[in-house]
Amino acid sequence: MEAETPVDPILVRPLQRTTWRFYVLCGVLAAVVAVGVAGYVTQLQTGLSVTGLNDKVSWGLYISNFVFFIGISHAGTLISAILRVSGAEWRRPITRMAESITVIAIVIAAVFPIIDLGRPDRIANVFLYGRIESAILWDFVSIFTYMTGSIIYLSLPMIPDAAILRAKYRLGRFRAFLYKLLARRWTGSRLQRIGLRKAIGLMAIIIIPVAVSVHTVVSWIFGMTLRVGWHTAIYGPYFVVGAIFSGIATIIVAMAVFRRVYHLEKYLTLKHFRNLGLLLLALDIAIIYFSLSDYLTAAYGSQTQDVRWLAALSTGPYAVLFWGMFIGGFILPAVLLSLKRTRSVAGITIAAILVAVAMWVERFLIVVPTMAVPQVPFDWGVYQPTWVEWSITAASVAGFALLYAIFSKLFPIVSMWEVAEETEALAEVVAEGERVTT
Amino acid sequence: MRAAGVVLAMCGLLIGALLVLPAPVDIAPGAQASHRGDILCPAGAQPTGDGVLAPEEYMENFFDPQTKTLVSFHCLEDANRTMHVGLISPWPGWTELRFQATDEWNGSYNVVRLSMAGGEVVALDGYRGATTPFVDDLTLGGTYDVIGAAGASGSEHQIYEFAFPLFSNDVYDSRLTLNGSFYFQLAYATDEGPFMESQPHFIQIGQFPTPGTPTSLELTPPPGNVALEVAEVLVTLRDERGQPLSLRPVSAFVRTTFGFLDLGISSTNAQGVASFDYAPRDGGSFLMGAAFPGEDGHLASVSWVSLVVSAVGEGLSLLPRDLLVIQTLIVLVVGLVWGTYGYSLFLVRQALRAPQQEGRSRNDTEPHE
Repeated sequence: MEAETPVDPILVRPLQRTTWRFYVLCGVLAAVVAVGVAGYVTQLQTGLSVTGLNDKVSWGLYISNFVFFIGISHAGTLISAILRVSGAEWRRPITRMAESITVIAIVIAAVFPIIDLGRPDRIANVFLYGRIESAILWDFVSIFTYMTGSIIYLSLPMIPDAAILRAKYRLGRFRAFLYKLLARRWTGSRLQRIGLRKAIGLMAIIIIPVAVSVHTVVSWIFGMTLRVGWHTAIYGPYFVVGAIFSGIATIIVAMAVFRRVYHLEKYLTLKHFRNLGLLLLALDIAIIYFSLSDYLTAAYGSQTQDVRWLAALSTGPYAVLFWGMFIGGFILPAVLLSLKRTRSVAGITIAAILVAVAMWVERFLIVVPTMAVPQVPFDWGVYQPTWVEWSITAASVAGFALLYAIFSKLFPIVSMWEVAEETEALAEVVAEGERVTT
Repeated sequence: MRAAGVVLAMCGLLIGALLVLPAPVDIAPGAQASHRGDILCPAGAQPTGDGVLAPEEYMENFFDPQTKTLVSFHCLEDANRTMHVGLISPWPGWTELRFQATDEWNGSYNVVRLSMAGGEVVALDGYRGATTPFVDDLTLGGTYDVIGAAGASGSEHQIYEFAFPLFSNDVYDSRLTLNGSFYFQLAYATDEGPFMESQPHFIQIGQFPTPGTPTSLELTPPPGNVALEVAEVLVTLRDERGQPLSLRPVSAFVRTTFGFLDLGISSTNAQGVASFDYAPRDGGSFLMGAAFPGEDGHLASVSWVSLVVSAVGEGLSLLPRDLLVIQTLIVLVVGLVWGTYGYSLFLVRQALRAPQQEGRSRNDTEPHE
C-alpha cells in the first residue's frame, strides 16, 4: 500500500545524495562538540572550580542553557500538536522539523543539570533522597515525561514514511534497519491508518499540557525561591510564552536553512513563513507585555533589593545585554514582522535569529543578575564564565545542529505521507468541485 | 561514500584525541587557604587548660566557616615550641585538628582527635598520610604528645583545650623550626562516617606580631518562634571593653538535617547589632550560631544558642500538612499522562497487527537507489 503513496523525489533526495559540504559541516560541528567534551572532562577531573560559578552565583551558563533548550523544545508542541489538534492543514510540511527539534533540544537540555551538578553521580540523590516538596524533583519527573512523550510523538508519524522508504528505496543497511524497526508490519491499510491517526491525535492532545507543565515547573525552580526578580507569580506563564516564542524562532531558522539547502521551496513557502511570523509577532508582543509587567511591578515597589537588581540590569554591568535583548531581540523583530515590506522569507528569518539570540540572553539575565544581587547587605556576586563553560555551551549548540543534520539524513525532514495526504485531499476537493460544476 | 568514511574517521580520531589529551589550559584550583595571620609566641603566661576559653587567654584565633569551628592558638617560646590550642566545636562526635609543618600542603599531617565522653575529654595523638587513614602514634611506635587535654561539654557546643609541641622528637609529629610556618586543617566526624574537612589554612609565626584584642558575640533569638514564620535573630558584637563594634561582618547559620544552612553575612550597625531572618520549616530545637571572623586586630568570636521553634498550628498552613493528598494527586496526573502514552502505543501495536487490506506487497515495486 505504501508503495503506492506518491513521493516527491525532492523530499527523498537529501537521503540519497550527500555532498562533501555536509561532511565538512558535520566535521566542524563534531570538533566543537569534542572541545566541549574536553571541557567537561576537565571539569570532571578538577571540579566546578574550573567554572566561574561560586558561592554567590552558583547558577550560570549551564542553567541558562538548560532553560533555553527546554524553551526551544516547545517548538514541536506548538507547531505540531496545537496546529494538528486545531486542524491547521498548512502545518503538514513543518511538523517533522518541529517534532525533531523538540526531541533533540530536550535531550540536550536534560544534560545541563547533570553538568551543573559537578559530580554527575549525585543525580542518584534525586532517586535516593528525592522529596515531593522539591521543585527539582518535579522538574525531573516532568522533563522525563515530556522527553518520553516527545519521542513517541515524533516516532508515530514516522511509521508510514519509514514504510515508504523501506519499500521504495535502498539507502544502506543501517537506514534499512531503522526503517524496518520503525515500520514493522505497516502496509498503510485503512485500519492501520485509523489506528495511527487515533494514536497521534491522543498524543497531540496529551503532549500540550505536558509541555506547558514542563516549562511551568522549570519556572518554579526560580519562582519558588525567595529571591529578588524570581519570586513572582508571573513566572509560570512568562516562561511558557517565552518557550513557545523561542521555539517558533528556532523552527523558522531551521525552515530557512532546510529550504535553501534541500531546495524545499515548493513545500516551505512564503505562506508558512508568514503564518509562523505572525505567531512569532503575537508572542513577541506577549513577551514585551510580560517583561514590562514584571519590571514595572518591581520598580514601582522600589524595595532595596529590587532597585539594586533593576539598576544592575538597566544601567549596571548587565545593561548592554539587557537593552540589546529588549531593543534588538524584542522591539526590532516586532518591527520586522509588522511591516509588510520586511515580511519576506529573509526578513522573517532575520527576526527569528534575533529572537533566538535574545531569548538565550533573556535566560542568562534571569539566572545570573538575580544571583549576583546580595540578599544581605554585603558583597555582590561576580560571575565570569570560563572557557570550560563557554566550550560546553558552544558544544551544546553544535551538538544540537549536528544531531539535527544527522536526523535529516536518516529521515525525510518533511513528512512525506502527511504532504501526500494533503495533496490527495486537495485533488478530491478539486474533483468534487468539477463534478458539481458539470 | 569513501570520502564520507574518511571524514567520519577523522572526526572520530579528533574526538578521541581531545578526550585523551590533557586540558589545553592548566587550571589552578579555585579555592585556596584564605587566612594568613600571625601567631604570637610570647614568653611567660600560658593558657590554663580548664575547658574555659577566657578573654586574652589566646593571642590568635581563627573561625573556619566550613566546619563552623573556632580555633585559638597560643605559642610558647620554650624548647619544644609548645602550641596551646583552644577549640569551640559544634560537633558532638570527633573533632580533629590537623597540622603540618612543611612548605607545601601535601596531605600528610599530625592529628589531634578529640571528643567528649562522660564529661571527660578523649584526646588521641595520631598520624595521617596522604593516602593512609588515621593511625594512633603509639600504634606506629611513636609517642603520645598531647599535653593537658581538658574540655567542657555544653548543649550547643564542645570546648577543648590542649597543647602539643611544634618541635617534636616523634617522627610522626611535626618538626617546626623556629619562626617557621605551618598548615592546619579542621575536620569533624559525620554521622555517615567520613570526616568533613575544612580547607587547609596557612599560619606564619611572627617574631614581633601584634596581639589581637578579644571580641564577644551575643546571639539573641526571638521568643515564641513558630515554623514557617520569619524569626529575626539579633547578634551583638562587642570588643574586650564591652563597647559595640560597628560595620563589622557577622555571619549566622543554623544546623538543619542536611548540615548548616548559612543565613548570610550581615554588617553590624552603630550599636554593634546585625540581624538575620530565618523561617524554619518545621518545629523543634535548632542549633543556631553566629561568628565574627576577626579583622583589624580584633580576634574572631563565635556564639551558639538553641532556637526553639513550635510546630505550625492547625489551620495556619495553606497547604495540607499531610503530603498524602498531594502525592496522590501527582501520582494520578503523572499516571494519566503515562497511561495515555501507553494507550497510544497500544493502539499503534494493534493497528500494525491488523489484517493487511487493500495492499500489495512492498516487493511489488522496484526499490530506487
